[in-house]
Amino acid sequence: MYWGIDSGSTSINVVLLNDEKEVVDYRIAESGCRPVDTAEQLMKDICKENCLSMKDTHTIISTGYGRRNIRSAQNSFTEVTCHAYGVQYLYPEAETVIDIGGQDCKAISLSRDGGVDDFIMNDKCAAGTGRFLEVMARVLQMDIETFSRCGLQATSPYPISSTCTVFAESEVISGIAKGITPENLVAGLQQAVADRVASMAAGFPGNVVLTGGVAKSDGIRQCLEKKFPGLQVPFEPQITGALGAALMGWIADHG
Amino acid sequence: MEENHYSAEESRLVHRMLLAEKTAKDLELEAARILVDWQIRLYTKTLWDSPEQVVWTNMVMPTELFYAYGLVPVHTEMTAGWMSSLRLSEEYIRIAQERGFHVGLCSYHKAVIGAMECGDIPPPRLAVFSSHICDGGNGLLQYFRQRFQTPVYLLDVPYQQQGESAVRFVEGQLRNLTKFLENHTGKTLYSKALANAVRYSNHSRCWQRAVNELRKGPVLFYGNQALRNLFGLFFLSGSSKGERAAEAYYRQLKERSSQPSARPVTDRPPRRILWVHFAPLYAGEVMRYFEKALGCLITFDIIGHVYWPELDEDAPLMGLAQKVLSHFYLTDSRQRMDLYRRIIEEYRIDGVVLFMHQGCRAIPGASWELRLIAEQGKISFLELPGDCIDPRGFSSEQVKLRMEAFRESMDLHAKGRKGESYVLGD
Repeated sequence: MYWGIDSGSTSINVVLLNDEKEVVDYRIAESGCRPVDTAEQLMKDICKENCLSMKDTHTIISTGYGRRNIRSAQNSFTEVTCHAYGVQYLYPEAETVIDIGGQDCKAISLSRDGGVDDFIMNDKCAAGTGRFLEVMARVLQMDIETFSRCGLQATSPYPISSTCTVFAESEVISGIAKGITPENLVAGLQQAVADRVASMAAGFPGNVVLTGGVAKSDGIRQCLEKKFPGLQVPFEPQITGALGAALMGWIADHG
Repeated sequence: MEENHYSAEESRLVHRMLLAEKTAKDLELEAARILVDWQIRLYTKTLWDSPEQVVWTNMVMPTELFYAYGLVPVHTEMTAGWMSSLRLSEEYIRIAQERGFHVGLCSYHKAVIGAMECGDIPPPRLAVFSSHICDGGNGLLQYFRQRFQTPVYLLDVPYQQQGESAVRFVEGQLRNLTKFLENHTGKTLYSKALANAVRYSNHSRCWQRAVNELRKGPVLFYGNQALRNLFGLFFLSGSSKGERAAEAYYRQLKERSSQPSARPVTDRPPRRILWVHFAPLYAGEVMRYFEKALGCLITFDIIGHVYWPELDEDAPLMGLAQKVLSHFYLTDSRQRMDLYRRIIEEYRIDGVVLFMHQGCRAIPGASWELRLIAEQGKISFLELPGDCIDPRGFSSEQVKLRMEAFRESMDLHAKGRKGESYVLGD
């Protein structure tokens, strides 16, 4: 069996794959300040839930920002490669991945042989990431679930011109002062994120899959669907990196 | 603005250069040792002791004429490169920004401005820049004139013009430049001196072309050394030292080509990389990681490309005009793309890295060309945003992540190619 561990900036995602390349189980937890312990706990939970022993599993592949800290991993790959593999496993016809994580976002053009043709990552800035949305939700005194749906009720989205987190926050505060409704502010913010991310993927082919924690935001998804008709979102968009990592282990054994 | 007192004894740049001198002798390539030795003397002695001999200039300005006059060209790019390597650029850039130079302007220029403003290098007595490639050059020239009353000369080079009229236009300006230099230095241009400079330049060009032929074969050295030190060869075009360094470069590589044990060792199966633009000079560790740990050997860098034809010894100013006009960033996109394709083929390139230096318009502005070529040729392409001189905002982990993903994508491409035996994850 093959473990894939995605040690991201905001969440730890663990996937277990069996020898038949089927997903046995997965877990998601916040990274917290002890991500390595969290990963180990998630693996134990999966084993317990599925009546397995750690001895039944033999390959651990890590990915994500903290991949090198997973000491038990035999190998590690970048999240670019792992998202590419994870998405192609779920959607063999996919051509492009847009992954919006906690602290970065990326567009990946997939090659026909399962790898990466090209990729673009955001620069070193939180704009267009989950962290950006969390900051804005806090300004608007909403939890992230409410925030993700709130924009769907907008009647006239309030345009946010900046994707800089700090400047956008001041635009939101100005909007509040002008009496703009929260729904219209949230819709404007989600549009700003979608515009920024879409520009990264604009040159890539059109069969797009959206992954990462931000893919769970209904508002962002709706904005991106307008830009990429037929946009697909996996049943659990947060685990595609870990799934890809597990697949890398499987491929190393089976070719 | 207050006036500064300029003194080599108090200059932090001089102090750090003298410290660097101690490690320069350990440089692997003899050509690099020759160049670094010359540059250290330039910044610690000539600039201070013989300022009347110094002419400030920029990367693409032909230097042969200066050497023919017995002048010493000092390049803004080389100067800022040293400031970056010696961990001084951040402070100088901050000073320039405090003087009102915008954060988006080129850090090469701001580092030089800051160093002059704080007295770590003396202001220029004379400055001659070319307008091509670097659009900020003229701005820096105007700053020199306003701030330090420096006599300045701008060589105005037309884009996408290589015909006879363009050559005559630039040649006429070079002729005017000779008068400018004579007026401001009191020196005379002797035809024999100019002929010698042209001859040295042509010889150096021949050695560099021979070096590039060798670089098409097995990788003979870690290419980040060329990005760091050997681009200085272009600043010596027209000098005997330039010829000597280029010859040493060739001879050492030739020797290595018959000694496989002297070639670079990598932790992973090597891949051949074309590097476009300069690299972050303060981040030597990341560049070494890219080459050694990831096995991405910089087989060739675009800065090392010898783009100009041999200079006509009987018509040296016309030859220099042709040299200026033949730069591949002056030509149209199709010609440049053909050049990149040829380089990729001849140097058997597996992947291309474009370092997107902030503040530069010309090279990052043409990134789409490389992306398209990579897509058509099915080779990996990495666009690395960053700054060659300003370390602020540089995250080595972020850059390494992109480099690693690039390496992985190359492996996957290779895996898909017939005959490749590399196993994923090796």
